[in-house]
Amino acid sequence: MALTSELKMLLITRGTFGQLRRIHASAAAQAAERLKAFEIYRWNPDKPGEKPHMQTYKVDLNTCGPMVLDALIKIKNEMDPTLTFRRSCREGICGSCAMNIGGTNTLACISKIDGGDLNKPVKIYPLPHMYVVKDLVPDMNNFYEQYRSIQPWLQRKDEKTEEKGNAQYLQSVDDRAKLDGLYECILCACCSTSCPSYWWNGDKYLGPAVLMQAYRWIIDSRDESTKSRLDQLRDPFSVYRCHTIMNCTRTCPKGLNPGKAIAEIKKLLGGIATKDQPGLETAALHKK
Amino acid sequence: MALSLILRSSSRLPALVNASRISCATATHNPLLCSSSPVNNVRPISVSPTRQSATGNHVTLWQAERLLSLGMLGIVPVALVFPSQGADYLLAISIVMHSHWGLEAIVTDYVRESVFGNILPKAAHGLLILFSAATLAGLFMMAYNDQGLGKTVRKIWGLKSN
Repeated sequence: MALTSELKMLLITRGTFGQLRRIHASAAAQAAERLKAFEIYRWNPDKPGEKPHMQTYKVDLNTCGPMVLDALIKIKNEMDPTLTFRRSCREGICGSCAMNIGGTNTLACISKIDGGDLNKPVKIYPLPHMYVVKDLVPDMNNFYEQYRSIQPWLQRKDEKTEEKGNAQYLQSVDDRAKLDGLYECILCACCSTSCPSYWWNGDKYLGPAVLMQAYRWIIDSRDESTKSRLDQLRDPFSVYRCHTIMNCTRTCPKGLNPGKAIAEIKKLLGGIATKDQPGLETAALHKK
Repeated sequence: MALSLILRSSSRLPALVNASRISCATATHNPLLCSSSPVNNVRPISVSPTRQSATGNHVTLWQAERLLSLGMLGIVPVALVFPSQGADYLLAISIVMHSHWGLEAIVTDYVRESVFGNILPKAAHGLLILFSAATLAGLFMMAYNDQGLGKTVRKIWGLKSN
């Protein structure tokens, strides 16, 4: 009974929404065009003789969504289908659309187009100091390979008696709280590609994003490979190319602090800090 | 995987696939060559170099740097307020070590093997050692033959302009 009344309501309101949209659309068409210039880095690997160049597109902000990614999609749909960029979730959770917008590494989907000053063009480049595959698409293989090298998964010493799927691992509320500000990273590489040390030594220095994930597994109370994880980072390059420039923290589109995580790794390596014992016995439920 | 790559490239590069087929017929003794040649014609997707491994232990140096920085908070004022030959030697050593490690980090960061080859980075590190040694010798000479570092700094601050 309740279902049918809900259905009726839906049918009634459906017409209203359509009307509302029509009113909005006509209002937008009547308003004067608000053209904003987008200067976008272009490079095509299929034309090896051509050097990278900037291409300008004029977008009417009245018929465009509020974010830079909306403008990029509009350009690709309506003006130039050859424009190439990565995007997926359009809400800042996948990290695909990381690029350099107006001199700052950020996600195109969560950075607003500045509609105040229409004369100022929006300049968009791929992530700095990365090999470019095409236009705004950087080659992320080295970054992902470095992420693989820190073994980003839970490791237990006694995996025979702790059979997977039988019981949960315990973690105290305080121990869980230590992972806040670390686990939210979406690996968009904005921080790593803003780091001068990563620009100069990206082949051997792991970079802020990967190091923050290394720290996330090092301090996880359930993980037992802490020593081997730290030993992997003792060389002069993996961690110690960080000179606390803090570009990483300044640019992070998720508001995280990779610079602090690296400092915590240095403290653990240098013996200034030690990892706490777990607040709860992690494998208690496996022993029952 | 290899098959799909061959299929994908075959439409774009028919001539090359034909060529590889011909070489298959002539070089039947090495089947590996035949299967790999069309795959080689596919443009590689990864253009970045693979991760190089780094060895060595940097932790002790990091600890020494922190300890020295901490120590210099005491050494510098003592050498300036109570100038003596012993304090001068200590000040000279800690200043040179501090600047040497700082410059060494810069050399390691910028004069790197992937850009300058194998020889130049080593030469740069050698030059830096020479530079630091010369600085230390100069400061020691000052402490041994002259009035010393602490007194010199005090004298510079004591100068009055006419």
